[in-house]
Amino acid sequence: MKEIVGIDLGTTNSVIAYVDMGRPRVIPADGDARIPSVVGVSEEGKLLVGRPARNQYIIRPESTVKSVKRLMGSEQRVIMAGKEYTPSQISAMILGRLRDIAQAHLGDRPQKAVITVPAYFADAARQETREAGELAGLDVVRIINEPTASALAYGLNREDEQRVLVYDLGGGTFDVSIVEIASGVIEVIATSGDNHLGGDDFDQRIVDYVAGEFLKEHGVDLRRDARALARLIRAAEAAKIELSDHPFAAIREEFIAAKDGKPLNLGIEVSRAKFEELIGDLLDRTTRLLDKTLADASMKPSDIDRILLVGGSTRIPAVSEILEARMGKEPSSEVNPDECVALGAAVQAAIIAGEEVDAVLVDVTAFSLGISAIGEVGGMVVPNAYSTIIKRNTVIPTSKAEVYTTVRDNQDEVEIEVYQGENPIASGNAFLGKFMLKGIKPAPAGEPKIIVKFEYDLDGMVQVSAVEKETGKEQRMTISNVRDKVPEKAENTAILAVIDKARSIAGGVEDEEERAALLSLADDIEAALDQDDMDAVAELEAELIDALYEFEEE
Amino acid sequence: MGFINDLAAKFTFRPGRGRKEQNGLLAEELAALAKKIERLAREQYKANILAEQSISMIHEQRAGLREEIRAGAIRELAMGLAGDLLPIIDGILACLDFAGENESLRAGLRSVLDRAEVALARYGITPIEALGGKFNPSLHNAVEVVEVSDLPPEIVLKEITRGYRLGEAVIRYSEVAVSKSQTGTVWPGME
Repeated sequence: MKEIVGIDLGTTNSVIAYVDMGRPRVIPADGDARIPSVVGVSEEGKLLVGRPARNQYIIRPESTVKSVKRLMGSEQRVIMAGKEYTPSQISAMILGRLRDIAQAHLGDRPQKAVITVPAYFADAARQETREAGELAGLDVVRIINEPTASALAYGLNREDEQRVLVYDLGGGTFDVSIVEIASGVIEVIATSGDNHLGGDDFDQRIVDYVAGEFLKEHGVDLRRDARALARLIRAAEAAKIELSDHPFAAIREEFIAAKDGKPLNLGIEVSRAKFEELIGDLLDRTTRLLDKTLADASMKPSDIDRILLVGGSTRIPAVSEILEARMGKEPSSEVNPDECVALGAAVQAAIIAGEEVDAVLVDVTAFSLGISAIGEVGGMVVPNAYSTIIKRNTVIPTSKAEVYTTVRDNQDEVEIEVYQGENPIASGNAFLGKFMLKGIKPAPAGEPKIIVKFEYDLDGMVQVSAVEKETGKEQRMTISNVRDKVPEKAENTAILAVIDKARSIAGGVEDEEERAALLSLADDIEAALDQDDMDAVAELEAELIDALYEFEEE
Repeated sequence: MGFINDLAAKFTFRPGRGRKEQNGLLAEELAALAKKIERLAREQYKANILAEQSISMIHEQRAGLREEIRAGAIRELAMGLAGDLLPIIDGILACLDFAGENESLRAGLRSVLDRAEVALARYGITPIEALGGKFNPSLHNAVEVVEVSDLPPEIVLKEITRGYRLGEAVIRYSEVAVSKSQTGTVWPGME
């Protein structure tokens, strides 16, 4: 029986997770990992939690409560269907639904829970969260901070001293925190946030832009018609998601409105660049809060060892780019950003229960994938720059695309050379293959748009395609077993692992001569690697592996 | 095996040791060996039983896992199909609204729509009933409220976006316009 679960009780959505045979996992509800944090009462007096409650909001706003988390710790009460409730009573209804979801999945009702709260929650709000759990029939064994939970999901409690920045941009709220990890203890040392900034705002920017363009063209404001607006909101959200992986998103809604009895169709393309322009000021708000948090912690960007991305809106590429530019290091997003906090709560729950917990299981690309293109390296324009399309540590399967152009007037073909690795010069990486895209429509240099797309599946197969946007001319190639084609230097990873093992075993060897022999072999291989003497490395590695095998046999 | 070498070393003939003494030592060593072999045999037997049980458990788990993977693959395929086809169906439905009195156009569009929905049904995807019925928040998402005087409250007046189910699970809620009684109107049951 699973006794303790972990719960992310969010402002917009909530998630429940547990540790199953050492692996943290989210418990889905009707195919979705998250349930909306909305509670309502139907016309028949039935309690509704999650999506059904959200569905009735517009008809019965007086019988529906959203975002109750914003009221936790305050003296405010909410009125729902004519009755007064405390925020913890409403939260208890959400927790009760999550508990039922867990029971349906696990077979038994969970008895205890670890629940997360924002780092800025004062005692009163934490106490109310605990009470909510108890009202829901759960023994709340721990209340932990959301950034702490995120660090746990990444297994950082097992690391040495680290300072970690957690950037949490969700559907409706933004929080940025700095946590310090030392001797397995995770402590939040600074935090800032904006309770009214998130993905919903990004959707609205697309809605307003598209509606504005349509108004200019047809003189009809789609936002004035509930039906058209509903379709537009849905299309805007889909476009936002599409732009995370592709440089353009087409929004097409046929017969969306009418003028003078004639139907009007919506057909517009939003580029990633345009989207980033539309949300630029919103992202600036997050970076100002980031700077404030660093200042509060008396830290510089270089003091931060790692950056974690949490919340679905961090999937927007511009978020990673501005963080990397500002902090000087790539942020981590291997753990599903929508589930990260709940998974971390589950890890804490397992630790309290004395269970073994492994890392969150994620299948990621070990190396970046990209193409050779003219670009800037170290401030100089070079013909052979490496343009990354899929960054390393991207969760697979994945599909990413970037847009390129020609360098000469009337250039009618481009060669796509595919590489794998991290060297900023393309030829410094492992070459995977190449193909030509011919028949590009004659145009001045810089005008044609060539979209290069990489589709990477779980079997290590990569489909690379190049499409000229205007004509639709396409060429593609398939690279199989990408995982076997490691960059030459990356093979050293395996040798280094053998060296590490030798040193670790040597530490436990009592016989001085034997210990010295093992360590000496390990040192010799390292020296040979430094000198790039791969013949010597191969010979010494074989000797070391034989020696290690004998030790293990004993 | 180290202990055999030890044994051989013990029983190499050495001058000064009598045959009787050596036979005695041999008997003792053999008895000890026999005990050791018995113990090892028992342990091996236990390990075999454990292995059999594990294999049986693995077979059961594999069968369950196979079914889970199969169901998951079907669901993924159905969801992919729904993702591609539903926006097309939305376009056809939107066009129907503008077909007006043109009966042959309406008939043609309905025929295309039927064919699309039959294709979806093969994968277990069926439309959610909405129009004219009672609003059900478990199936419908209200996006518009219309005040009316001639209908009870919470009746679906318009289907803005058709909803669909995969089996029993909702994969897309119907987006609907719902009636709201004009202020002052009381319907039976509302008192």
